[in-house]
Amino acid sequence: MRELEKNWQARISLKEICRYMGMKEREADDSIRAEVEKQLARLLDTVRVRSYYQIFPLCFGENDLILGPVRIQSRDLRRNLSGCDRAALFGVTLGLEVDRLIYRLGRTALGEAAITDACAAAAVEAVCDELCEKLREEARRQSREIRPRFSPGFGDFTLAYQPCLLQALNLSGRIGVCLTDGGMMTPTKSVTAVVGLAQPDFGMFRVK
Amino acid sequence: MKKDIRDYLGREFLFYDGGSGTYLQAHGLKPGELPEEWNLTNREAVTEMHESFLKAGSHILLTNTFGANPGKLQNSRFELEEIIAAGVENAREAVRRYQENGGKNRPLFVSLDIGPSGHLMKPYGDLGFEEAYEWFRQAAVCGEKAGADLVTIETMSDSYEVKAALLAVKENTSLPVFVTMVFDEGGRLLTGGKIAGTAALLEGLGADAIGLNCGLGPYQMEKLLDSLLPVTSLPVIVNPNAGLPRTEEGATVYDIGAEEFGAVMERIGERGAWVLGGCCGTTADYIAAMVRRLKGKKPAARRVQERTFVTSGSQCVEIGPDPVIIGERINPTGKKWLKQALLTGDTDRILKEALKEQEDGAHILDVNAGLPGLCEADKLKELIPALQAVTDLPLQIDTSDPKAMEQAARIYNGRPMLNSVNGKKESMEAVFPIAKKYGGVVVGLCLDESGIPSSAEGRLKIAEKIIDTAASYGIAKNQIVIDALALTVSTEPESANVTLATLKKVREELGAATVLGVSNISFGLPAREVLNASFFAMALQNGLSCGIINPSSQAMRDAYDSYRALCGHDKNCSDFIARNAGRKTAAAAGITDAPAGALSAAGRKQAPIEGFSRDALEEQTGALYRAIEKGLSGDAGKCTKTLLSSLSPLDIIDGELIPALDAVGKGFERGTLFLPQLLMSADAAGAAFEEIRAFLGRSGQTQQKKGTIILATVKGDIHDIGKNIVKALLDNYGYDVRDLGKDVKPETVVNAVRESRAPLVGLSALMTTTVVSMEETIALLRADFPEVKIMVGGAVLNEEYAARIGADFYGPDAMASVRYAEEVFGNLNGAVR
Repeated sequence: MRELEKNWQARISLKEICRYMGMKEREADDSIRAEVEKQLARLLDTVRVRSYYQIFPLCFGENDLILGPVRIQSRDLRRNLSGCDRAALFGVTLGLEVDRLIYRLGRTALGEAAITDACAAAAVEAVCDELCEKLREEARRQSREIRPRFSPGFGDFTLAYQPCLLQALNLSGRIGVCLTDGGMMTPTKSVTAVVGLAQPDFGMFRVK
Repeated sequence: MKKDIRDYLGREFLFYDGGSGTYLQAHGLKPGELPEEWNLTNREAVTEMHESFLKAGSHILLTNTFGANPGKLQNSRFELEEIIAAGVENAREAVRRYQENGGKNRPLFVSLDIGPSGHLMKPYGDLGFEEAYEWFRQAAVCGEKAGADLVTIETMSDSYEVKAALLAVKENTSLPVFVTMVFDEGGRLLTGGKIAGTAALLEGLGADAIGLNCGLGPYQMEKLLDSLLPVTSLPVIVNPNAGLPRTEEGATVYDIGAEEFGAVMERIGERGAWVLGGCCGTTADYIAAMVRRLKGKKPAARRVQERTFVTSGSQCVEIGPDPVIIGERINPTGKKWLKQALLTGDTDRILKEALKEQEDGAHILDVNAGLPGLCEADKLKELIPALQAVTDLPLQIDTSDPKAMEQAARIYNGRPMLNSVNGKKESMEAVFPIAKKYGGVVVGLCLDESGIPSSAEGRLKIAEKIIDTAASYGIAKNQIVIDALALTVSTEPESANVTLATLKKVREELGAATVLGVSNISFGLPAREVLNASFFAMALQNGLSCGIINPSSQAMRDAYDSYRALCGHDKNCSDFIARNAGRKTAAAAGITDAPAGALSAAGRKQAPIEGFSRDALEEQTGALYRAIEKGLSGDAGKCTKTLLSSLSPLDIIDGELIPALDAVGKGFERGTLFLPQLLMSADAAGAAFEEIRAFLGRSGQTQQKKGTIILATVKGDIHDIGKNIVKALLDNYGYDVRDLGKDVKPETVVNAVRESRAPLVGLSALMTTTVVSMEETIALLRADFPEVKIMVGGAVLNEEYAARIGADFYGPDAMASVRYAEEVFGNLNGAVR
């Protein structure tokens, strides 16, 4: 997914970074802004973004839904996907180097580590936004529009689905994202999500 | 007698089979189903798949056991052993059928297939080295027992994991072992390693053939071949996918057809790969097209230049014509602070030193943990993973204890340098087997039973003996670096000349690389740096390949940079310019600008500060307070250093440090300051404390602590930034914090409490799934130590949840944990009084 590599960086917002640092953007004084800029620059030098998605046919059962190879029971995801006949499943990661950087800073300069961690959290969101933008274009070609992305952990779409999502996309082989026995993704700055592709005139909730 | 595949390498092209996933899915493998179970449930389909590849011309069948490891099979109704036995049997059956039906008379092999574990290795993931080893060991042993002819370890993307797999196969079977790894188009592993370093690692560990598979198509692999062929003397394997993937209607398809695949593979074969096959998306047609193209052709002869590589998980340093700096700082000899850090387990101090060496330009770091009263093996086993978690520089394992060397070399991620062996029979017998087994590059000291020869000829003879003896262990000359030995000129006037002559002879007459502990030359003399730097330059000029030096010394750095610029190793002097642009030499800056007296007879010493006026002192104290408040670590360190010449450590802590920290902490609690500021202040206070510790250390004192607190991120959880924040703050507030790290088992926490008698434990968990381990840990602690207070924190917790799992206190942020600690220890101390 080479075309992702540049555009996503412009999507990183200071507002998000501040939110991850437990503060509001307006509360960030000049010295914090400067520090964020410094840490963000180093982070962007370090990331190796990898992403993978696949669009699967989607059908709804009695109280579950079947997305390609995965069967999911989740009322909230069902609601998110209503009106869709296919959906994209994706995985993205900032790469192991980011975990290494944060780990190293955590032992030498905690302030920098926390700011970098917040920047990385915002960065992985930006990568997801960019990927969704790409999916929107893909959807348009298929005469469809996309729904907001929905990740395991949202509502009643539990983290227990993480293993089958990773397996369905072979994320460990393709982008190096694995799960710990505790169900946590490694590298830690990684995201999986479902993005519904809805047929046009289904007006339940339209997304800008 | 059984055929040995190694006898066929290079004599004819050997062909692997193609991908199995596509075939099995087409024959009904359901998503989510374990393909390996088909070895037992759908034997016929698996056997037919193997047969189709034999008909296409494959020599080597990979058993359908890619994911057969205890981790991936944990929910399977079948045992690992039955799955592997059936996998080998199915491939054998295919061979039988093929031969009975008049199959061509060519050597055929069944290879046990071992794929990756599916977990990321510690410290970034949750799979430990020994656990990974055990998984792979089980698979390998089952494979050999079932009758496999060789083992193929494939689709690996982590150098550490592949090391575990390769060691497991080599130590527990006598089968040949081929290894292929996944690189991206830039020639890097997912975990960051590059081709040269990975090849050096695998060759060092004794793989019989190595190469590339999966991830890329044949065109991309053809390009990577240019990087791989020149750096390995081993036979090379290339097993690409059928091009690059794209999805069509929810299914993955590849962009290259069978004929095109065959055409590119023909070129790859002609360029020097000896073993060829396919991975994802390659059907029997692809293999057949490739076999047809290369029919009647012979593998190309290879010419390989022997080079010396030392590696870490992601970096590769070549010891060659361009000299290398080995950082000498992590060696307790003559360093009080390091002795102290080793004894008290203050690993963070050591990590900081390592990072400083890296920042100052070291290429490799020497690591020595030899101290009386300390188990060197245990210490190295603790220190090496800790170092490798923060620095990607390769390490030189420096010990005279063979047991420690072996254990350290085993868990080291990469191809280490081993320091050292010498010409004594006993030493060579102990060290060479370790170097051979783990592929270490060994430092060979020019001394033996008769001592250190006083002549260059004598030292050369020992070097020769070391190299010859190494050869008898199968260790090539490019795996040896000769230490010509630098001895102080203060007692032996000819010493430097002999060393320099030895360097020259070793390089010219033996063609071996060289190393020196450069600083030894000036032992017992004043202004050692001056002498060291001159000697370093002379040694480089006489053929020194690596200098073990202090990379933070400007004089040494200058000698090194100048040598490289002057002797053509620094093209266009670009490194020299980058390092020195804008630098003012004494002459250019104008010495007269310096304050009067600063360069007087006392010269190199700092001006005494005793005459500090009261105002100046006040200015400095205010400055420290401000530096901490503003989170300026550098300034805080400097101010503290100055203040220590006139104030006691306690005055500084109570008068400046704690008030500043308190002000920031209160600001944080009020919501006028935020996490980044709180932490930058904590870092600045940390820098100040570092100065105080160093000051106390010089007079043999230690800082008084308020009490012990155990901290851990619970089992299954690997997020530890929250815990680290709490640790830093508690540290600054004077507590003795024992940090057990992340992914910590409940028993480990209980044992730590038992041992330290800590009255307070802090636990962190970030996920709902790991709060369960937190609850377990609390229950276990309560059973043995009902009086211990437990505080918890983490994103998914709240006060109510914390109470429900039995914690005494929920800390919503780091300051809250400090306040709670104050309360707990305040009550305790009150009770004692």
